[in-house]
Amino acid sequence: MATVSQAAFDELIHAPLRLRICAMLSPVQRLPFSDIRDSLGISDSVLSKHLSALADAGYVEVSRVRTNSRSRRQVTLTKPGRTALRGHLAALQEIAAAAAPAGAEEPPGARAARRRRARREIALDPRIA
Amino acid sequence: MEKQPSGPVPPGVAREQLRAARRAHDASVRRAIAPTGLILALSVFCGAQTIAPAYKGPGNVVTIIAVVWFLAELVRMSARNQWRPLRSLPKPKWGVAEVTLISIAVLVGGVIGPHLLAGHANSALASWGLGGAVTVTVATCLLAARASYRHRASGAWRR
Repeated sequence: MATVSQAAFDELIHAPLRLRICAMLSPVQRLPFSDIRDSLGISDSVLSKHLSALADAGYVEVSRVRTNSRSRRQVTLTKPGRTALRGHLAALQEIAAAAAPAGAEEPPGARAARRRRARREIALDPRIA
Repeated sequence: MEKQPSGPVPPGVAREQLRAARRAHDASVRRAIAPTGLILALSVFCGAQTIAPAYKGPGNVVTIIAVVWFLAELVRMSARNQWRPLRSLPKPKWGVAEVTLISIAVLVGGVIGPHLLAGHANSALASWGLGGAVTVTVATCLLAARASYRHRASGAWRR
């Protein structure tokens, strides 16, 4: 679960396709290889390469399931994979949030209050009055 | 004016990465989640089983409507899955809350309603009232399970 998480930037997941693969796998038990390939619009070899990299790190498991005498590859995101994805998403969110415009964190009405205070100061200033 | 990026990637790239990953994630959730129509049709079917046979109307109208509705929803799901077998739809990763809610729905809709509450001795009003209560309970549990799954699945994206 997203316990406002231990942000941990993960170089392995950071590759755009790998991040999307992990994001696709995170809400489901497993996905067929062909579904991931079709959704991402990439070739078998490219997907295989990325899955091998993720599998070597223990982030995904690729298993073969026989249905109607055909063998289909199923991909599962493992527990370490889920943890790494959560950490990486948290890290990306931190980076994105750190770049938010400086005025964005100002509470509503703060500018109006500042303007009122400035007007009062001007009214009380004997040099201006 | 933007603050200095605090990570190994520029903030714009991080935002773009997050957006693309979120889209992939949401597409997966949409495929895995049970559609509302299917849930409601199933709930109405369960409720109809609770109504005493004498009050169901000619030819068990409510049950027939529920079955047709349910089948229509299955066809719609299949169309959304590009006519591939429904078993190829990804299975959602349920948590404890979802399993509990689904179990309650199955228990109320499949056992308590049709077997314990349905009775020939019930009046027409009581019979339809019980049927309605079972429908509402099953629908509430299944929709709550759906919402809980959605909420949990998108947990990592909320900061």
